[in-house]
Parts: sequence; C-alpha cells; structure tokens
Amino acid sequence: MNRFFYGRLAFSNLKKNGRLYLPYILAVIGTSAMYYIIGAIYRDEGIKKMPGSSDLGLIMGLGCGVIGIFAVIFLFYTNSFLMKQRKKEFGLFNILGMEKHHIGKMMFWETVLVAALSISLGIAGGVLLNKLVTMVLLRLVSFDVPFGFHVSQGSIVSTVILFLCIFGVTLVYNLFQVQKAKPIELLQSVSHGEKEPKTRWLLTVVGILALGGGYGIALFVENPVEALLLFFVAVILVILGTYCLFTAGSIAILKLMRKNKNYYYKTSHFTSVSGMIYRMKQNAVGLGNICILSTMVLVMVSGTISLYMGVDSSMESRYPKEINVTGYDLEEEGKNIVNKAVVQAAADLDIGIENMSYYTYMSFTVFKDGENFIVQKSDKITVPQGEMSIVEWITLEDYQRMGGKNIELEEDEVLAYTLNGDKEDQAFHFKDRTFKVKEHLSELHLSDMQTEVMYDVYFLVVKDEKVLQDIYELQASVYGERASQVVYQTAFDVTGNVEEEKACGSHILELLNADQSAGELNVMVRTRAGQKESFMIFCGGFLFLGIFLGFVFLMATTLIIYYKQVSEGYEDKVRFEIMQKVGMSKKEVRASIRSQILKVFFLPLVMACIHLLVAFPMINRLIFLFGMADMPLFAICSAGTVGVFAVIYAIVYGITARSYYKIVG
Amino acid sequence: MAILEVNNLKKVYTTRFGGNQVQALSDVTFSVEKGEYVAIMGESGSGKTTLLNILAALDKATAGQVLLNGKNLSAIRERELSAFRRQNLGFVFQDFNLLDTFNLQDNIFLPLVLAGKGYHEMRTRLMSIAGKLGINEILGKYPYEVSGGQKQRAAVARALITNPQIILADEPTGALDSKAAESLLAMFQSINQEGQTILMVTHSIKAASCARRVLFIKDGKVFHQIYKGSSSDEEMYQKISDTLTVITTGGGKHE
Repeated sequence: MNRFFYGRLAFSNLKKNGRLYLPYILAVIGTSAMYYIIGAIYRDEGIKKMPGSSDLGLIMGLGCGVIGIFAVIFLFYTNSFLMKQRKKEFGLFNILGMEKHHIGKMMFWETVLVAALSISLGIAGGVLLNKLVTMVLLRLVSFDVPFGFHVSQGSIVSTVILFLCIFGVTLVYNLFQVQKAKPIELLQSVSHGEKEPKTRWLLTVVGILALGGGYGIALFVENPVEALLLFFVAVILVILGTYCLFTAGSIAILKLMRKNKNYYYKTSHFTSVSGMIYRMKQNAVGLGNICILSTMVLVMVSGTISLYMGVDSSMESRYPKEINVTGYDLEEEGKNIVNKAVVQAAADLDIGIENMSYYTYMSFTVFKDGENFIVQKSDKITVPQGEMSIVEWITLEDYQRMGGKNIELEEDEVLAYTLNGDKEDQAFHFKDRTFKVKEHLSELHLSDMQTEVMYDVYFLVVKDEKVLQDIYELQASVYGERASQVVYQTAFDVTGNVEEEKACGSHILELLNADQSAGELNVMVRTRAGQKESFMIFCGGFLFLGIFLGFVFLMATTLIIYYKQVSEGYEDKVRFEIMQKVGMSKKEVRASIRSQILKVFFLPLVMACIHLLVAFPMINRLIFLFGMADMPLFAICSAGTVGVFAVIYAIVYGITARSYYKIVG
Repeated sequence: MAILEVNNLKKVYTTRFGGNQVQALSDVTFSVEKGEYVAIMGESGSGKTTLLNILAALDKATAGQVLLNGKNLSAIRERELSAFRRQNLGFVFQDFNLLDTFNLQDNIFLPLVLAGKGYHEMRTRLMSIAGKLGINEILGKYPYEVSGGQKQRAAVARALITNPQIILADEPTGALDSKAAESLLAMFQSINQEGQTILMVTHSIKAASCARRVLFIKDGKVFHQIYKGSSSDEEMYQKISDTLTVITTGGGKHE
C-alpha cells in the first residue's frame, strides 16, 4: 500500500511538472534511440560482410563512443536543470512533514518511471527507425540495401545498461543534493539574490590568446600534413578560448559597456546590458556548449558533404587513368611480366586499351633549402631548414617516350619541371651529388604524375636508370626501411563499363600472381572504380556519422535552449513586473526581452559561424589530404550547411521563445 | 486646489467564468489637495489595494472617474500610459521592487533613463535627494547588500527623482522593522513639508498617524475621515485607534 502511494505520488509529480519533464523524457528517448541504432549498425552482421566494412566498423565504433559519452554529459546536465527547478517543491514536501527518506523514495519512483518509460520507448523507436537509418547509410555508401528486419539484442543490452547507469548516477546525485540541503534552502533555492559576477581579466586574456592561437594555426599553417598534426591543437585552443570568452570575456565586455555612461544610460541599453551581465553569468557555460556543439556539427557535416559530393572529381584527379598497375622495385624482367599481364588481361576479357602510359619513377620528400635537398627521417623532433617538397625522379628515356624534347643529358645533369616551387635554380645538391639544371621545362607531358599539388613538386629528368638507382640508394641510406622505392607505373583507360574495368583490374592481378617466373612481384593494381567504392564507404560512413551526430547535437542544443528559456522565464517574470510598475510600457519590456533573448541565443550560432569561417582554409587543406581539391564546392557545402543549420536553429528558437513568453506573460 | 479627484469610483471583479461578481469598490469619492499627506486605512479586503491600483493606472475602474490635475486617467491611451505614469506618479511599494541586477543608483535612475534623460541631469537630480535620504554612501551597492530600510529609502529616491505630482505608497513600512519604519515615516513627513503630495495606503496605525489626513475605507466606501490639524502624532494615533475600534465593532449601533 505504502509503495503504491509513493509510485502514485511520483506519477502525479511528473504529470504536474510536465513542462519540465516532457522535453527531458523526449531527450532520453531520442538519445537512447540514437545509441541503439548506431550500436545496431556497429554490430550488424550484414554490414560486416560488406567489402571495406572495417573502415565503416571503425567509424561506427567511434560514433558509438561519442554518443555514449555525450549521453552521459548531456543527461546529467539537463538533470541539474530539473533539480534546480524542483527544489522548491521538495522543500515544501519537507516542511509539510515528509522526511528526507520519504522524499528519496518519491524521487526513486520518479526516476524508475522516467527511466522505464523513456528507455523502453527509446529502444522501440530505435528498432523502428533502425531499418530506415541503415537504408540511408547503405544508400550513402552506395550499396544495395539487403532486405530483412531484425532486432539487435546486443545493442538493446548495451543501451539499457548505459542508460540505467546514467539514471542511477543522476538519482544518487539528486538524493545527495536533497540530503545535504536544509528545507529552507530548498524552498529558496530558485531565487536567492545573485551576486554580480566579477570581471576576470586573466581568464579573458587567456581566452583571447587561446582563440587567437587556434585561429592563427587555422589561418597560417599551410602545409596539409602539419595542418593535420596541429588540427587537434587548434581545436583544443578554440574550445578553451570559446569557454573563456563566453564566461569571462562576455562579462568583461558588458562591464566596459556599462562604464561608458553615455552608452549605458540609454533606454534601449540600460536594462539589456545589466540584464545580460547576469544572464551571461548563468548561461556562459551552456552557451559555450551550444557554440562548440554547433561548430562541430557544422564542421563535420560541411566537410563530409563536400568530400562526398566531390568524390568523382577527387577520384579523377587522384587516378587520371582508369586502371593503374604499380610495381615496386621491379627488374627489367618484372616489368615485362606486368606489361604482358596487362595485354593478356585485356585480350582475355575482350576489352580495348587506350591512353596507355608506362614509366619508371621514384619520389620522396625533401626539405629544400636554397638549392640543397635535405632528407631526414620523420621521427626526429626537429625539422630541418627549408621548404617541405617532393622530388620526382624520372629517366630521360621515359620522358622522351611521353613526347618530351630530344635532349642529351650527362650523369650530373637534369631537366627540371617545377610545380608551385622555385623555377630559377641552377643546380640541386643532394648529399654528395650535384645536378646541374640543363634546362627548366615548360611542359612535362606526364599528366598522370601531376596530381600532387599540395606541396612544391620538382620533377627531375635524369640520364638513365643507373642514376635513378644511385639516388635511390642515397635516400635509402637515410630513410632506411621507410625509403621510397623505384616505381614502375603502367596506367591506361579501358573501353567498357565500370564492371569491366573492375574485372580487368582483378584479372591482371590473377595473371600476375599466376606467373612466378620472376619470383614474387610486389605489384598493386588499382582501378578507379574500385578505389571509388572504398572511398565511398569511407566518406559515406563519415557523412552518415556527421549527419547522425549532427542530429544528436542539435537535439541537445534544442533542449539546452528550451531549459534556459524556461528557467530564465521564471526569474525574468519578477524582473519585468517590477519594470512595468516603475513605468516601462509593455512594449518596451517586450523589446528589451526580445533583444536580450536574441543576443543570448544567436551569439553561439554567430560564434560558431565565425569558427567555421576561420577554420575554412584549414579544413579545406585537410580534405585535400583525402584528395578533394574543389574549394568552391567546399564553400558551397559549408554555406549550405550553415544555412540549413541556421534555419533549424531559428525554428527551435521560435518554439522555445513561445514558451518563454508564455511564462513571462 | 485638488491635485487628485476621485469621483464615485466603482470596481467590480468578475470571476473568469462569469458567475460570481465581487464588488471591491462600491462608491469611493474623495480628493487630495496639492501638498497634502493622506493615508488610507482599512482592513484586509476593504479595497485599499484595488483603489491604489486604479489611482496608479495599473487597473481600470468599472465606473466613476479619477482626475489627476484635472486629467481623466481613463481617457489616456494605452501606449501613453507608461509615460504618463512615469512623469506624474512616483511609487513606493511594500516589497521595495528594486531590481537585483542594478545597483541602487541605477535602480533610482531607471525611470529617468526610461524617460531618456542624460547622465548629468540624472546625477544632479540624484545628488539633490540622496543627501536628504541618507543614501549617499550606499549608491554603489546592490539591493541584496543593504538592509530593508536602506532599500526602501532607495525606492523612495526612485519615486522622488522624477518630481512626480503625487507619490503613491503601498504599505511602505510593511516589510520594515520598527526603527526603519519610524525613520521612513519621518522622511515622508519631511518631504511632505517640502511640498510633495503623498498618498499612502496602510493598515499600520503608526504609519497613518504621521499623515495629515486619514481616510477610512470599509466595504468599498469611504467610511470616515479625520484631520490631524494641530494634534501631535500621539494624539493622532489615539484618534485613529478609536475610530478603528468603532469601525470594527460595528459603529452603526452607536450612532
């Protein structure tokens, strides 16, 4: 009977506090559904059988982790909002004669009800949506959708465990809060006179420096590899800077505004500046969260969308010809076997070969200081002087076969063709060798090789393969195991469709494996279509995760905004009533509310857009690493993402603002 | 010359779903002369607060009229109302109604800022009253940092700073301890002596005995009034408490 009583009390409490609990329950349903879905995809047997699924598995595993951690932080955070709003109620119960352990029992039942309702609905929703989401994912990675509908028990178990743990921890935290508070404190906890926040200059300066540092890295680091390394440093600096500026910087700025008497004592500034000081004190961290989350969504979605959209062009720029056979360290005999295999495969499959090219080259990274090429193992901490560049060495024979000029070369002479870098060098010094530049070429006739445009690239034509071999040994003496090898490259287009292209590629590989006359050959066959498929899985997987996490973050943002509006609404109500009594018209009050709310809620969005704008060149360089070199496309994708996000954000704002105005009256 | 005229004021509240009607004021008529200090007394539920709300143009009367300087309050258009109240009325409330996001100085400035006055003018006006009210030292403090009496003095400063035609005070001593209440009442008397018209609603005999005239409201009507004349505060206190005894024990029988 007694237990029944607490259950019923808990139920009626939840119903009474519907305005607070409904969004919370919806959030748990949403998060647990998302967690179930991504867990189910991660564990899906069908997807595991797909080619390239290891990448996908990795991405989904990552997603699982992110959503899990996120769920913990986010639900704990929302729970603290709920507690803050309900303390008065608990205080009242306490004063009316309920002991604290009674309140504890009541809270326990409330948690049980909320947990049971939201987890079960969440899993049910997840199971229903799973099929749809999987279909979207498979569409994104361009795979046929297998039929069937199944429930992932593993994912259900892990979802239930995770969310029960979260509810358990929040309950313990709430009980502890109530236990340690005195009833009078519970009663007053919503409205004790809040102290004016102090100006924290140190934190402001730290924020400016951190943000400046992060922005500096994003804007001025031009080397994509360094960009990749420093990207996380920049991200951490920007996050740190954002939090510092939201918490301390905003208040410092507002206080400076208040110091300016002519500005401050104006009807439109007076109430909003002073109100904002308090608002920022309470909301800075929440707004910082929203800002960071929004930035993440924007970066992730715009980056992956542009990678995804640019898949064709990036594949074409990376693989100018449809089929590429690359042999490492091949003797003359090996090269012949490769050539034979190519011709044989085409004949077997009755496919025509077009635009065939074959050549031998070697390429490695150097630091170019003046006319010196310096090589150093990359595991050293200090980086040598000079510009990081790539040197591609080819033989005169290959150059001429491709249609180059008819020129004689000595052993210590080279022809140079430069992409991006210096075009006036007279000679190049590499170790103890010196190569005089006989001529700077204006054209190389080697379109296949000119795909690398991130760095300065020096194409050097040397006399013959013997020189090439000498240079190989010179760099191998430094790079050791990681030395670049002399590469024999055959590339060609085939007549026929994508399927035939792929078939031809695998047939070449079969033939090569079958012919052991020159021992085991180190040869790779890449078809553009095959590469595109695995790249699509990778990109599609990331795009999916980007959109998926985007949804989760957006949901979080929505809820944070909602609770901010509601909790502030109750506090502001009193304030605006006083202002009306003192002679502010309803219209002025409304204008003041609007300007404050707009500022507070669109500040994170504006800041996120600034972050994205500054990060733009850096992300552009990073997606370059994935072979996407289409800046306008990326710009369009980013703008589109920002646009869509801003619209959703504005809708969320509109909906939550309504409930705020209802409270303020 | 009457600064405030109240003629046959009537206010009926109707509950939300029609049905019950509650008559808060049935027929109130009185006037306040310029420079007067009037207290309105009555029990809880006698209609005091309703009356004050109507005088403050926060509420509209069902019938009758209120004239401030000959101007009918109900004839003022909605969007001019706030400005009108700001310019002509000063308010002092029981619970101070100071904003905790402003320090005392900014709280006092609030109506002037709303009226679009410059900082220097506000500062000059504040200096001329802050000394009298004894709040010079605490102008930079926040409401939660000062005592109730200090808060109420700041609230009085906020009411005075617009040079209002009349100050409307609603139980100004209600939330103060006796010492703070006494000093507030003394302050009211001294600003009244400088020519400020004050209308105060209270049910504290102590507060009312400081006024120059006391109106008694019962059942939504002005039931009785006494002038202080040349009596001292103590004599006035006695008169008021006698009157209240008559009212509460049902004076009708003794007449």
